[in-house]
Amino acid sequence: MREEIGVTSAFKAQLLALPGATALETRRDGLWMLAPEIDVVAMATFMHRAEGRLSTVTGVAREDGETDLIYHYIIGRGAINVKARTKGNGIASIANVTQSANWIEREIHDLYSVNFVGHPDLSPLVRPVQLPEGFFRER
Amino acid sequence: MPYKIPIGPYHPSLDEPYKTIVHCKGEKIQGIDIDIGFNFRAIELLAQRRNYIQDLTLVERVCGICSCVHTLTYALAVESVAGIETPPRAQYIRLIMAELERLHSHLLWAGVAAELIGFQTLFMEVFALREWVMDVLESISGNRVNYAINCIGGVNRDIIDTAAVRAAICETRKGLEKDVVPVFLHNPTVRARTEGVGLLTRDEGLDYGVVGPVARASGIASDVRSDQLYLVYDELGFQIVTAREGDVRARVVVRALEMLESVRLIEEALKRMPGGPIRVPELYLEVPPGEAVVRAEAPRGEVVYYLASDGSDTPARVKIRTPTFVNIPSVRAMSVGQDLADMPLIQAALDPCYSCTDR
Repeated sequence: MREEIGVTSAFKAQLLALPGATALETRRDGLWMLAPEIDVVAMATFMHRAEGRLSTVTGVAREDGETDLIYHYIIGRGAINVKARTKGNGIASIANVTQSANWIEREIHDLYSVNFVGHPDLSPLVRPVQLPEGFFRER
Repeated sequence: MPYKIPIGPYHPSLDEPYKTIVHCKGEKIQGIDIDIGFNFRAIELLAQRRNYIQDLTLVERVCGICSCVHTLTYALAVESVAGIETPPRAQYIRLIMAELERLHSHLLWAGVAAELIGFQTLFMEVFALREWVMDVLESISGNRVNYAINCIGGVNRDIIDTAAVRAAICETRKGLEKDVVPVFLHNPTVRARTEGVGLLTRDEGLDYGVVGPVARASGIASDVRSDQLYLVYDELGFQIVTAREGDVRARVVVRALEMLESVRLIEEALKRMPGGPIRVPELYLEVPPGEAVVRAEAPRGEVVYYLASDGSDTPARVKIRTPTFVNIPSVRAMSVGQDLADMPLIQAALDPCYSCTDR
């Protein structure tokens, strides 16, 4: 698959050496890492240096009150999806590392009430002020 | 003395509601605040309350201009989780519709840009040309806006009269080659109005994560059509269009040349389109538990869909990331130090879609 182009073995080795990283899994839609404990700031800094583009972050509500956060990165022609998990529905912000994370995190804060620690401005982005934070959690 | 100018959420120069607060000193822009969310419809949440078939109709309403790419990406995501292979003819029809949509979207943008530059004659030329494309879309799908062409496992309608489509596309190509593209590439008025305006460097583009023609105009060679195997772009020899300057003119040039590439892809696809079924035979499809991330190239850039299934007839999660959502924040980098009078042109050069952005 052409998905792999741009993701070298040296890159993979450095990604696997990040704090909290787990094994990489190859799927049809690119590489996946299920790493609930990963240090997202270290990951974002590493990806930023490697000219990785943060495509988006997907928030998925969990029944235990936490939120899975899937960081979708594009490196060259390759896609890397890293699934992290909040603690107490909070996680470190990567907005100070990558500009594009600013709005992405604000939106997830609106919809899933995730507290991004260190985010410069978590004011409502898409949420109407009449609605409470985290209204996407109610299915 | 610094001052602030609020523009929007409702303003004659804006097609859709959003708000910018421009911080100026004299005529020079010092900073900009952007507010979105005026079109928020919670489509992702609604998609988790409807079944897979109903969601096709829903996601088609994410955007009025690039409705086809949303159903396409959604269908690709469902097909990826369910392990469905679409028939080759369906892939060609999907590609033709996607490129027709890009063509009409770029022509719409070219018309708006011409009007903003103050070039009314070009605006009329472009919109007359766009009607050829709209007629083709209508003749294939029966609709001018929401085409309802994609279904899970293929497409709903076949392209029967390929000769008529080819003739209309030929007329579009002639108009593009004779008038529109040369004007955008060489006309001194267009050059004077766009050169050096709204600069976005490659590094800034990477930091903001911009996509589509905005990224390609800043020297970032990123296009899902060449980066990833989807539909039949590789069979048709897709050629990516890039520029290095990163200004409004570079965005104009990239879009103008992309229109010619879209025309070539449509003509080539019509020539090579194989026979056979246009969708899988099963009417009711089971989607097993699983998840998938699918990307496709919309007229404004990369669209991302994340879909998770729990095995029921309703998706557990549908995440939609539209290109304008990542492109809009880069206006900050483009506008600082620019003249206030260039603000409408800088914003228009993004080809923003706020309906998409807010979802």
